[in-house]
Amino acid sequence: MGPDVRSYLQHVRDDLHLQPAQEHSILLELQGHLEERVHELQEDGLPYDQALDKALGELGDPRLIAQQLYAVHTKASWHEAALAAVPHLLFAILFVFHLWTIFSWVVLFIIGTALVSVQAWRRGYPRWIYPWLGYSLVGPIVIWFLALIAIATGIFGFLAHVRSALALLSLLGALMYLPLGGWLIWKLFSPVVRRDWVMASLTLLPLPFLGSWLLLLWSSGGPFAYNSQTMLGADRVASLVFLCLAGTSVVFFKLGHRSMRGFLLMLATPILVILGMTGFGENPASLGVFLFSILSVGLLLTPALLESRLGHERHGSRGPGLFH
Amino acid sequence: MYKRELLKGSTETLLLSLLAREPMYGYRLVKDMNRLSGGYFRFKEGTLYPALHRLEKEGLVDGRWQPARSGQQRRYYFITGQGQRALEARQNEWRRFSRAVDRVIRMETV
Repeated sequence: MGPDVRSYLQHVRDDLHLQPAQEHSILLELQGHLEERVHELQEDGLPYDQALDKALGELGDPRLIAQQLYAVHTKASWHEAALAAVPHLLFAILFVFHLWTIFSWVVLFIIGTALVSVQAWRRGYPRWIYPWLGYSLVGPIVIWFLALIAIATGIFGFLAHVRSALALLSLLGALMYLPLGGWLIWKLFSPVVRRDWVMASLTLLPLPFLGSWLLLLWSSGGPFAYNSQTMLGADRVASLVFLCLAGTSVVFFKLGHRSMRGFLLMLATPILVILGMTGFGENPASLGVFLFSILSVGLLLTPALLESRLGHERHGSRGPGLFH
Repeated sequence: MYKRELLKGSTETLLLSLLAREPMYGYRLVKDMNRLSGGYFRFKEGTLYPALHRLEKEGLVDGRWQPARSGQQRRYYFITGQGQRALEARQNEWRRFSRAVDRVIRMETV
C-alpha cells in the first residue's frame, strides 16, 4: 500500500482514541476494503493512482469515519454510565455523613477505588473506570504534596538548626517518596493520556474541587479542625458538588461526540469549583476564586498538551498486514 | 438531500436484510447493496462501518475475522438471533409504513 493509504489510515487512527486492539481491527478492516476496491478498479482498467483516488473518495472523509466510530464505541449504556458515577456518589456519602474525619473510612474508600481500578484494568479496561482511577490517584497525589511540604519545612528546620530524629526521618521519607510517588502517579496516568486526553481530563475531574476543599481545611487550622463550624458547613457543599460530579459523569458517557465531552468538562469544572468555593462560607476573595477556577481548567487541559507530546498509544501499527 | 435522509433511516435494516441471507464483510456488503438496488444505494462518508459497528454493539450482528476466498483475512458479519428478531420487526414496520405512504400518494395523484 502506498503513502496515500498510510496517510488515510493514519488520519483515521488520529481521531479514533479507542483501545489499541480495537483500533488495530478497525484499521485492518478499512485497509482490506481499500485494497479490494483498488484491485477491482484496476481490473476495470484504471491506473493505480486513479483507482486509489476513487477508492479513497468513495470510502469518505477519514476524520468523519473515525469520529463516528469513536461515538459508536464509546457511547455508554445507562448501566456503564451509572458505574462511572458510583465513585462520585461514594465521596458524596463520605461528606454527607462527615465520614472523612474517620481515617479508616478515607483509607477504605481510596483503597476500594484503587482495587476496582486494578480489577477493571485486568478485565480489558472498560471506559467507566476512569472516574474510579481519578479517586485512586487522590491518595498518592495528596501524599506527594505533603512530601513536598515536608521537604520544604524539613530543609527550613535544618537551616534553623532544629535537628530531631523525627524531623530527619520525615525529611528522608519525603525525599524518597517524591520521585517514587511521582513515578507511580505517572505510571498510572500516562497510559490514559496516551489513549485519549478527554478521558484523562475526566479522570482528573474531582481533583480541582478536592484541591479547593483541602485549601479550606488548611486555612481552617489543618486536619485537627475537622469539627469546626466551617468544615461542618463545607460538608453540605462538598456532598452537593460530588453529586453534580456524578451527574456530569453520566452526561459525559451518554454524549457520543468527543468535542462535546471536552466542552462539558471545561464548562462543568470552573462552575463546580466556583460553586464549591463560594459555598464554603469563608467569603473567599473573588479574584482568588476566579484564578483557582482558571487553574482548574488549566489542569484539565494539561492531558491535551501531554497527549500531543507523548504521541498516541499504538498497538501493532507495524504488525503483519497493517500499513504495508 | 431527501434521498440521503431516507437512506440514513433505513441503513441498518438494509444491512440486516443482506446479512440474513449470508455472512458478509464490509466491501461485499457495499457491492451487493449496489447490485441489488440497481445502483440506487451507495454507501459513502463512512456510513457503512459505523453502522456495522453500531449493529455489533447492539448485539444484532457478530463480527469475526475469517479468511476470504482470496485467502486474505476479512471481518465477516454474522446476524445474531436478536438481529433476526429485530429485522423481522423492522421489515414489518417498513411494510406497514410503505403501504401507508403509497396509499396516501396514490390518492393525491388520482
